[in-house]
Amino acid sequence: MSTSERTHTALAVVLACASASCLPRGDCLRNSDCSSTLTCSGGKCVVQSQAESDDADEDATVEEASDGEAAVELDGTQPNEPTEASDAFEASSVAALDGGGLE
Amino acid sequence: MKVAHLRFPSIRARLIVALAPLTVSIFASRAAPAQQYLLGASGEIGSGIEGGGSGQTMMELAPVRLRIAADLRVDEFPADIYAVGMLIDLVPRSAFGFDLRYARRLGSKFELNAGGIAYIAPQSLFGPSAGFKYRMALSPSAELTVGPEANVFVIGGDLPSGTILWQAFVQAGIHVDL
Repeated sequence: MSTSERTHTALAVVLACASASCLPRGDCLRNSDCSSTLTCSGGKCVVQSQAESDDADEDATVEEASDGEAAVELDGTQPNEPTEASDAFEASSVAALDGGGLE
Repeated sequence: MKVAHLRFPSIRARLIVALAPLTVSIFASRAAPAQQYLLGASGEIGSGIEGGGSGQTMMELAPVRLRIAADLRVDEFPADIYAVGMLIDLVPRSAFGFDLRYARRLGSKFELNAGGIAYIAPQSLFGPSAGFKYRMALSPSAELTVGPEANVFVIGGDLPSGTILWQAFVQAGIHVDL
């Protein structure tokens, strides 16, 4: 293959790649690619507040991941999870009510 | 017999005498009446690819861009060129900006340039820019220019947060000495 043929082939590949879908595309690269009420975030046009909350979620996820053990220790008791203390309190309350009702 | 005492000038005086011709020559050369400012104008059109994004990188075809520029050089330093350009993105979207560049001629056919580029509409983008040109003479005062250019936008209201935008252009045009 001569030099000019190789150049032609390389140019053809570059042009075909640039014009076809082999470029990894998103909806947007700039904020102005989106309509005025939207901004570009992660290659997609999103509502501005959503973009901010996405950022906040990402930050929170990172924080949870880094403080995973601490989060478990602090949040070990789930709000709806029954515990021994609450069971005992519930049983005594029921007994008192039952007792009062009998008398 | 008396020995004549020769009085040597002070070090300061000797320094002044030594440096005077150099100083005069520097300022004289800058203010020489033969010095002329040479103006040039150019028009170029180009396109390429651009990309950016956080996390996954995205690429797409860069806008088709028209650049109309004026440049200035001094006849005593013809290799040093200062240029200002107006940028107009034509398709697929319209945008307007400008650039400032210092260009250095490398021989008669090549040129390296570097500077800053800014878009001001529809939103702002700012960053550094660098390029290379091959200049082919069409006539004593006109040249065909072809070459690549790279731009990186690092700040601006048009940038999504936490990202940069890069462009790789190939452009062609004509430069004329005015």
